[in-house]
Amino acid sequence: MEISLSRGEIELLEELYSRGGRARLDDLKLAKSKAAAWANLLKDKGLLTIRERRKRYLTLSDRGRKHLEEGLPEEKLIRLLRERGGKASLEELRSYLAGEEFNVALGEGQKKGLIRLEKSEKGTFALLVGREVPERSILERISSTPLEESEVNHTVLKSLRKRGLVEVVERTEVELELTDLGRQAAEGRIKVVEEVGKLTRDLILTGEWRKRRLKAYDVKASPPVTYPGKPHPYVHFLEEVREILIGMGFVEVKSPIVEAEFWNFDVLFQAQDHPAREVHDSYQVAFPSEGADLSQYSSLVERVGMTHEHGWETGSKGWGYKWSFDIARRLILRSQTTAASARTLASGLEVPSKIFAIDKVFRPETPDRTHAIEFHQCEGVVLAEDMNVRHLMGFLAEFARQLGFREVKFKPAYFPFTEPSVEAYVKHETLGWIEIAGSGLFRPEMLIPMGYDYPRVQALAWGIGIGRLAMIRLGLDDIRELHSQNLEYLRRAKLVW
Amino acid sequence: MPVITVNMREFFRLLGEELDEDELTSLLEYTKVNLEAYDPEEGEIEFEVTADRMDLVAMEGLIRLIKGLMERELGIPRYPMRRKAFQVRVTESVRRIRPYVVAALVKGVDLTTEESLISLIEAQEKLHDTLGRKRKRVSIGLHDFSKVVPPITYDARPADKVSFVPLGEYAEMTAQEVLEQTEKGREYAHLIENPENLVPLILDSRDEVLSLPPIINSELTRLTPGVRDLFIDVTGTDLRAISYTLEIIVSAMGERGGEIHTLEVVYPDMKLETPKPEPSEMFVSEDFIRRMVGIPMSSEEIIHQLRRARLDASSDGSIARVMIPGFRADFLHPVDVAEEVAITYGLNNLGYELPLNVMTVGKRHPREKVSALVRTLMIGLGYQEVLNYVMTSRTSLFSSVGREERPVVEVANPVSESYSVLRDSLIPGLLHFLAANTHAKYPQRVFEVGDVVVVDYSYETRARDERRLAAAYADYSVGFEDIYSHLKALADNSGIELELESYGERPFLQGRCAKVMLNGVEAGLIGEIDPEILLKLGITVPVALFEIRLPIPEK
Repeated sequence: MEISLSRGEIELLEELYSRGGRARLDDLKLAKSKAAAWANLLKDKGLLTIRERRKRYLTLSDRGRKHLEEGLPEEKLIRLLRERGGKASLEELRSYLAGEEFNVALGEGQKKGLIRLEKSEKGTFALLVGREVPERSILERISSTPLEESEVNHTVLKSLRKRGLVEVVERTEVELELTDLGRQAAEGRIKVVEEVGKLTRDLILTGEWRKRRLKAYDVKASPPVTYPGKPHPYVHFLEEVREILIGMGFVEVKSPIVEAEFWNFDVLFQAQDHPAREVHDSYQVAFPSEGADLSQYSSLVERVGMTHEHGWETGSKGWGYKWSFDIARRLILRSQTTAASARTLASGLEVPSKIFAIDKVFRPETPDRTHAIEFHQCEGVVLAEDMNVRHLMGFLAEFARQLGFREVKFKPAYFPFTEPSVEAYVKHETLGWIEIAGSGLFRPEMLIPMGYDYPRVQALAWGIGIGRLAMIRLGLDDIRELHSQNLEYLRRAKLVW
Repeated sequence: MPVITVNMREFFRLLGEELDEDELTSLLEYTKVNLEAYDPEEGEIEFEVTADRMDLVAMEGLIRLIKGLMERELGIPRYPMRRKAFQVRVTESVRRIRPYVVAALVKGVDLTTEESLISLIEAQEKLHDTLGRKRKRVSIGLHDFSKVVPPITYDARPADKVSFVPLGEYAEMTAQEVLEQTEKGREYAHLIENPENLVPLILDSRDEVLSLPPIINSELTRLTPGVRDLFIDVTGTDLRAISYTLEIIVSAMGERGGEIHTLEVVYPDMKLETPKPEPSEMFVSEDFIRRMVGIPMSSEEIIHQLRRARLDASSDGSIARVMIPGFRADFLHPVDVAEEVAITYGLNNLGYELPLNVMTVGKRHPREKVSALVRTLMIGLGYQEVLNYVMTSRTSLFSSVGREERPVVEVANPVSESYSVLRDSLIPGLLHFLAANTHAKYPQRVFEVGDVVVVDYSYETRARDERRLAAAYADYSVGFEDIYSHLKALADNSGIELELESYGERPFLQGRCAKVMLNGVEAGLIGEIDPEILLKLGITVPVALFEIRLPIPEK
């Protein structure tokens, strides 16, 4: 019979044997944490037993420490008497020992037989008759290492506790004891083969590894936890969406967060008194207080204004109100990514073009489970000749398919800047039909002022509240978790793929 | 989008048949209306309608549309009509206060049940809130015509010189008292405020007050179940909007069997006949419709679909002449007719196709390209990505992290102080993130790639976005060298020249902070955070941090 043991296990076995086969874990020379691990391994192999005992230890209390340094009241009394030749009147002593301390000193002094009181006509005198204060030695001992309660004389212990000089702490003590098998191994009666846990450079270079046995791992045991550097799960999802759109031939575009109403609304043919432009639906900028500088777009601005008022050359009736440039140049926070599409389209795109934007939009909503103060929109536009509503739905179906949804259906909708307007729904395994996109063909009142040859050239456009989709994919039910401030959640969060 | 609740029994009574939830849902797939709730226990149905179809806010309008889709009735409904029953005179003085009025008389309406009256009042309130912009732009007065002696005058009078019993009160009050003492008065008085203290009034020929728009009607003309003849006034600031509103109400009453009487509204400078006696017309190329819809459709099919949508249409083979009733205000351009054909035919019946000939090459935006690169490197360096809001508070940005105040973009209508300005740096967000996670295991290495907004008057919108990267390293023992080594790794691995220049700025520690120069251009800050600030945030371990601007300046 032979036993395989690691270096550490062998060391523990040997030390324990040298201590008579039995020792407390704390008393070992080996580092306690390592020794504990090795002890468990040896126990599993039947070489030792582990016994845990709860023990009570004494340590100094704050008061105990104070008295240890300054002396106990009865010790002070002894000192005073000694300085006075072994006798002094209580009156005199009282002037040196303050109230409570005087009483304790006198009481303890008599109880321990340190002093004797003698009454005379001149008053009461204390006579010094002893000098052993048993508490002192205990206090001194426990000031460096805690002392097991059972080692202290019962009367002294009672006094120490009553006087609040000590505190009791409970500790678990681990005692190791070799089994017969353990003794046999330690004495060499059973062959011990040294096993190696970690393969090291030394072992390899010296060839030592050939002689040692490499320990087999317990593959069922959990490894230590590692927190890797990791993308944010939501950003990771947005990157996936970005990749799908780039794969479908879309070019990514941007627009500023602080935006002119012109680009966020007017150019999209959203009337200036449209409810979405009111304070409860978009953030107005207080500072910087100056409006946008739209001078470089003056002819577009003029065409857009006329289109709002009477339709200009778009074939539309227009909204029939007095359009205001001052409203158009007001600053807001981008409330829809369509602003990015509008800016890009207005810059004059080649036909065909496909563009997309994934960015944050801002709306003054009170944050709750379904509303965030800012959220991402994903917006796409296909600008091409001879596009129609069937192509729009075709793109949406393909995009949905790329996102993992097989079934799709469509419903008529209303958006101020698209006609026809379409909502896309996808079938989710557990949630049923969910709306994923608002879409449509951009209106002539938007495209014609930008210089596109409508209706030959059409723009299919769609927008997705991508955060909601991310919540479904990430299994979240509170939109605010997309901006989670919880590091532990982020460390645990799984990345979808 | 407005949500309307209708009484199920009344709805099906008017429709003339009952539909179960599935039947109703599949019919609504041919409309922009969504079924929000179908609750036989409460006896209610909830619909969500869109802002372009306010005619559907009245359930009679919705029923009219459903009848068309079911092909029980086609084309524009022909409600019996008589013209110019009497005049509504508009005085000069009222035009300064609430400039427009239109009106109509509807006789023989079926409003026998309590439910029918409630539904009418609900439609009125929905119209007030939406089209009416909370009565500012449009308000509606509904009157029992049997209590009215025409003709009518729309006039302005001094508030303290005119009195009537307002709806829901028992005693006569002056207009002044109505404005000051009634609930509606206090809520809406600001809409008609004027220096002369005049109030707009709808008065009949006896000089009886019928209503004080947009605030309250008179008790005199209160509607009660069984009312047969309605006088309807609509006043406001926008003639188009009030005319459209009148058409919606009148046509809803037409669905209830009413006979419509147009009235002559006589302004000092113009004369109108309201509601409009004739539909308007639009000529639309049928090829244009086919081009938008995407399938070959015969002229007959196009005409048929438009009639199902309750429009009238005829064709000469290439051009459709489309008649649009007054209760539809969503026809600005022929494309609106094309949409009507598409949705009535059924989007899901059209089928879809992915056009494979639109060949374009996809591309990431340069800002996202550099972001992806630095994200990869930061993740490789062992950093967890975090995401913070762009909107924040001045306190979070400055005093709480010891930064010196500087101008930042500020919104005029914040929902809360916590979200009232835009961040100009990613550093405060990262520090607050660390402060929220002091219980989590250290080391903590976190980074964010995101936009900050910098005030810049030379920019078109006075503020420009800047993409930045910030990374923070917090541990029991961590320092400048640790974060510097990571920034250096980032720079070396992306081919950027990195130099530091000694510099001091809060929240960094003096002497342990530097300006980051990337390719010779100042691009950010690096350093150890002042422990004074860490302690204030409740962070008890050292934090080293850097922030740089992206894209990285070229060499």
